[in-house]
Amino acid sequence: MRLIARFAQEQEKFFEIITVYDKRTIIEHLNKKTPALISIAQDYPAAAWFERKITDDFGIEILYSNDKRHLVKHEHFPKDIFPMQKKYTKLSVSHEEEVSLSTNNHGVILRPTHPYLLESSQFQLFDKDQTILHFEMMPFYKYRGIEKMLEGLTLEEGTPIVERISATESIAYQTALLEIKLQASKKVLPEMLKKRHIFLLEFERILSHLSDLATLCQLVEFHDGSSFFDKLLELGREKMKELTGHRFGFNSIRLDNNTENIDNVYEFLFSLEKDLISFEKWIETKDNILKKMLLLGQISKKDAEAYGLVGLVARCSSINIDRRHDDNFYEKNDFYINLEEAGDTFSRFNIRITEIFTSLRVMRNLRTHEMLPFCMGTPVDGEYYSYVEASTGELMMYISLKKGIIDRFYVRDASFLNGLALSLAIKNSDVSTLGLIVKSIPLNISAIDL
Amino acid sequence: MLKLFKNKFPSGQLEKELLKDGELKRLDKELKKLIKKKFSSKLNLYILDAGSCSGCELELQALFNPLYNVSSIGIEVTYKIEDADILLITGLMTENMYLEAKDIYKKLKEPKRVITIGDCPLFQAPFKNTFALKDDGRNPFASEYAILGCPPEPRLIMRELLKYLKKLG
Repeated sequence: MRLIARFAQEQEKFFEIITVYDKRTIIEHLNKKTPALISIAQDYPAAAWFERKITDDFGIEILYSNDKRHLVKHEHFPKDIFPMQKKYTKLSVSHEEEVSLSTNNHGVILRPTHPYLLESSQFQLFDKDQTILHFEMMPFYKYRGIEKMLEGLTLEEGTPIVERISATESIAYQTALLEIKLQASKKVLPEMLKKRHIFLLEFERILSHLSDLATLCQLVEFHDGSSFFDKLLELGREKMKELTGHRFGFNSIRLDNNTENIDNVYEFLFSLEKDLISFEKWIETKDNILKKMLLLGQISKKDAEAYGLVGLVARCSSINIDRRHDDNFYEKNDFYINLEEAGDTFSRFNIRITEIFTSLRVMRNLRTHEMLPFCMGTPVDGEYYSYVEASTGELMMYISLKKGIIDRFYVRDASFLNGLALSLAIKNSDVSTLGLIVKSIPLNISAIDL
Repeated sequence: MLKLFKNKFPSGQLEKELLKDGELKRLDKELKKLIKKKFSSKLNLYILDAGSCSGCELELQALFNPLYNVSSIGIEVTYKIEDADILLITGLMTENMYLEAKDIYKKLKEPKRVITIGDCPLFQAPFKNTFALKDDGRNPFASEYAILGCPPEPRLIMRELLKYLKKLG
């Protein structure tokens, strides 16, 4: 079984641990006095981050765990508070004394503002003669407490927050939330609206891949390639704005979409396809550029399976996993999963181009100018899960609704799993290749940190 | 290589659509003049993400794409705070980032010039107070200017930067 997520929520008389696998969901109840949970990290290495977060959030002890370090709480965050417990209602963590930044004398710390990162996070690495022996990502510097922020809000009140968890995946998050709203109001989205939303989701994926391709080209010193993708990205953002009113598509997964500008966007998409075909032919002649990525930062299929990796990182290690494959709508519209075998940086570069072609092929079938009014209805209390294949990979969202308001919000971005994969990809690599490997793995730190 | 690149790519549409319009040309000219006069032709920006959705960072990054290309007028990003002329702060100030941010602010040379980017540092955008934010998440450091938007688009950032530079003595 593949581990999808493991998280906790508090009920009146007990804590509930929800472990979601691809084939089933297991729920455990823990008493509130001395809550303790048996670790599954030996069988599922990816469980380590989930379990460390459960401890930091709820104060639940993890038994038989080899890694009891804090994940969410950094240097000066008080360790004796468990902010996701219902009884914790303070709006700030108080400090009795000023604590200074700690230093680690045993390795190299790339602080949260390191140039390898666009967003704030921290990497720690240990090297010998320029070979990286151990590498680890320390997330949660940007921890905004979004799970708690959403508690007590209605689904509608929470929507602007959810769509701003991560700008680059805003449409995916909006889509996941809409799916939960639909489940809660027992409605099915009309096909023409679904067409529109999938169109936008694929458009977001294309923009995300273009952005990554530009960065990867820059890191292999292929500046013309970087400039080429940057131009396409800029044009794409402007087309997204024409279509949705926003360059990142905020507030675009709506029930009353305007389809006026869709023809202009199709013109852009057709020209993008032609440009990418030419790019593919051209880069085939650039052995020196390709060599820099070949066999670099490899992740084996075995490791990818063991860590439950998702998204293009998994697909590059020939794991046949893509949430779109489970959706008949995609299947009807010419979708099939793209796979690579080598699991290296070049595969992750190449698959982004292939996946853009796949998105374009699907989008070709989604052209519609029709619109019908559609109302959502009142949400019914319950527990709801949704899954979306975002640009970084599988996104899982969970919402428990009580009396019409959000009692628990949890989301697991693909980056949460991909963050763990970094250590696999980077181990034994040369320090000089670090940036290239890091950027080949889709990481969305704001979505990990929440 | 550039010649080969151009020959191989049917990028006619790209070149046409990415041409700078009149406003961008004017912004380039005026910014370049002010940067030359007030910062000896090179303005170093340091970007501090205090807890953003990454939208602001991506729009700041877009300033360096072939359309806006602010490098050509002397604007650069530095990763050494000691070299920065202006500190740009994006996002909500999280509890976990606060000490790092404080350290960076302390190292910013005098006069300490800080500009906040986006709605979050000023009024939280749609976010709400939580334990994970430093106080209410708004920028805790003295700032001279705010560029609003969620996120502000590259063109707007250029317009506002020009206004700010004009105000500087």
